[in-house]
Amino acid sequence: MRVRVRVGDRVYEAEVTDLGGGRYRVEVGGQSIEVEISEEIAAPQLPRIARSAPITTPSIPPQVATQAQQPAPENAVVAPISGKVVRVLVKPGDVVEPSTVVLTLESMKMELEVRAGRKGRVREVLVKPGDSVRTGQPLVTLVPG
Amino acid sequence: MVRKEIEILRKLREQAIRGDPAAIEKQHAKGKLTARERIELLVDPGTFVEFDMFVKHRATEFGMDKRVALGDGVVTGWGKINGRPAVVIAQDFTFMGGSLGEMHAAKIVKAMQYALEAGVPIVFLNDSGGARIQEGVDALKGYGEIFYMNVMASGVVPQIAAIMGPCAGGAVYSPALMDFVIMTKRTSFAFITGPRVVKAVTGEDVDEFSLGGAEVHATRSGVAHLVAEDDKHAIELIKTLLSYLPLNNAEDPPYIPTGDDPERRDPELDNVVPEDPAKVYDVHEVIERVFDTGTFFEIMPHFAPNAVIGFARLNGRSVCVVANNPAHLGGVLDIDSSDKIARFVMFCDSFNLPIITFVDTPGYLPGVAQEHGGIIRHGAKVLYAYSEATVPKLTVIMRKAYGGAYIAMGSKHLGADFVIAWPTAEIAVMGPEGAAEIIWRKELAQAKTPEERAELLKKFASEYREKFANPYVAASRGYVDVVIEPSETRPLLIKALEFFYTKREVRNIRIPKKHGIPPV
Repeated sequence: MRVRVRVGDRVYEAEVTDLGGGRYRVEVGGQSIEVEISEEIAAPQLPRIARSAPITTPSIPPQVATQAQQPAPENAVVAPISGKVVRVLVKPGDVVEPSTVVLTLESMKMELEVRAGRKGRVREVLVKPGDSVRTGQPLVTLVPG
Repeated sequence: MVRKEIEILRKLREQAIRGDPAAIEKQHAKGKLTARERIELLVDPGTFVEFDMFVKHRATEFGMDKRVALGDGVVTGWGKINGRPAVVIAQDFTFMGGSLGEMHAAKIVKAMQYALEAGVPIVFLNDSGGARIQEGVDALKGYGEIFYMNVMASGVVPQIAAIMGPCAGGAVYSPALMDFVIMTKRTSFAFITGPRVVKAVTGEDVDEFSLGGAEVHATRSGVAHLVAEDDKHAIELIKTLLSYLPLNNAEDPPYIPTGDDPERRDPELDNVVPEDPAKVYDVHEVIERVFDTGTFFEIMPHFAPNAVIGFARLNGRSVCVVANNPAHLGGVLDIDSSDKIARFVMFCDSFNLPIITFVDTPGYLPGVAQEHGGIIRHGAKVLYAYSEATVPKLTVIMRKAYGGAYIAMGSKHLGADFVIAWPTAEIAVMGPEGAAEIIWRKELAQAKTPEERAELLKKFASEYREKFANPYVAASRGYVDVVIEPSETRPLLIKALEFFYTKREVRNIRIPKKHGIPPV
């Protein structure tokens, strides 16, 4: 059997002959050596993968305003980026999950999805299609639940 | 009949291990495990070798001569984690709140030294009230020496910090200097100055967890890389993380066969990128389908989610993944995502982990906040990190790759070894609309009505898109090595990784230097 073996950075071609009883002859670059495999090392096992814990309702105060603006009320979904409202996908009374898309915003020449980010019921929709909004501006208020 | 000397030793050991039952009960009541319980969960049974168990502090002032415990509030040793060696340092909150004095620090420094000598990772489980005030300037010396060792170990052996209790003041800087920080929800917090000082100085009313809890550091500050539900989960995260890393910078990362077919083509990949270039998608869809099934381990999933970083296995080989994520802010590059990407690339390069980059970004986020926040300085880190990295660098351009963002995201020009583009790639100096505004300015100015102008702009933009916003211009220059069907990505990345795995840097002559100056 011809095989490639890597030692550090270098790769060698070797001829391996099974002599039986766990003994092999290995020929590399004209040199020949007899080896014995004393113990087969078990292939490493794929470990179980743990994941970082989910964070759905960060118990932290609303975003500190980066520009001269009022901090958003606690239960508001705010614009993550400045842009123009394209579509509003919820109405007062709707139940939302953290992953529910509440509206889409046109920004960076793309239509971006704004998600509720927490569970709740829509109390008020503060914007309409065509409105220009700034980063951090409240878009929709929610009642927790 | 056991002889007397052995009897004494046994008693001493037993005393050191037993600790203070009342304090241990309090620790458990908080939902926390003790230092020894944490170590027991972390290391393989029977492999832990503890040293410095009999170390005691030397303080005598303020009644300290009467408050002495064997071990001085920290357990140090080495052991095996999933069969591979590591040094473990675990602070013991049950003795004087895990406070750090001269000898407590000396134990930590010695353990780190051992890790460096043996070339094995350092796992530091933090749970400490801070400096032991009674020991004065000796405690400060202790912190300073730990920081110094953290820096000496940086880039030589992986360093993982778990914050599993308080971590305040100077104590925060040891985790900050390490490669990864894991924080437990509800039981850990980290800050430079606590709520009382904050209140006194700025008048802000905030509790410990709102100021420096796991959620804050995982979403806002970027200090925490991973969040754990509790101590047990934190230990599992450490084990998972280590399973992707080499023991030191002279070793290849671990190879673990996953059984996933290297020739597997996922036809779904052909349709992940929406036909409308304005529409978004989640890049996790791509990552999960390309790498060995279920092996993607995301780092900092909640901080700057417009960029995704993490470890994965590709045909069993451990690799680093960097990607823009159009599902968040369209995948823009901003201050936080630049920091996130740059530091991860530097880590991967230090530890011989190949970097695989997936590109789809509309560019840098415009705005006063970004410019005043120093996006120039932070964005430069990405350029620095990619250029400096000598590990195999493979790049997949999925869609938008415009201007500066194209260059930054692992382009050929920063030394990528192999650049793959999908037919949906848009590689150009800027987006079609913006480009049309400039190229056809005169024609657009002649429009009589705004409607006519918009119509013209649309026409010019689509003309530009057809001519330039595709992978073939870049491919005609060789900036892109191949254009492939998205479903071919996995088999090709595996072949490219195989080919470049033995890479030696030959393209650029690197002039020897002490170190560069990254734009921190």
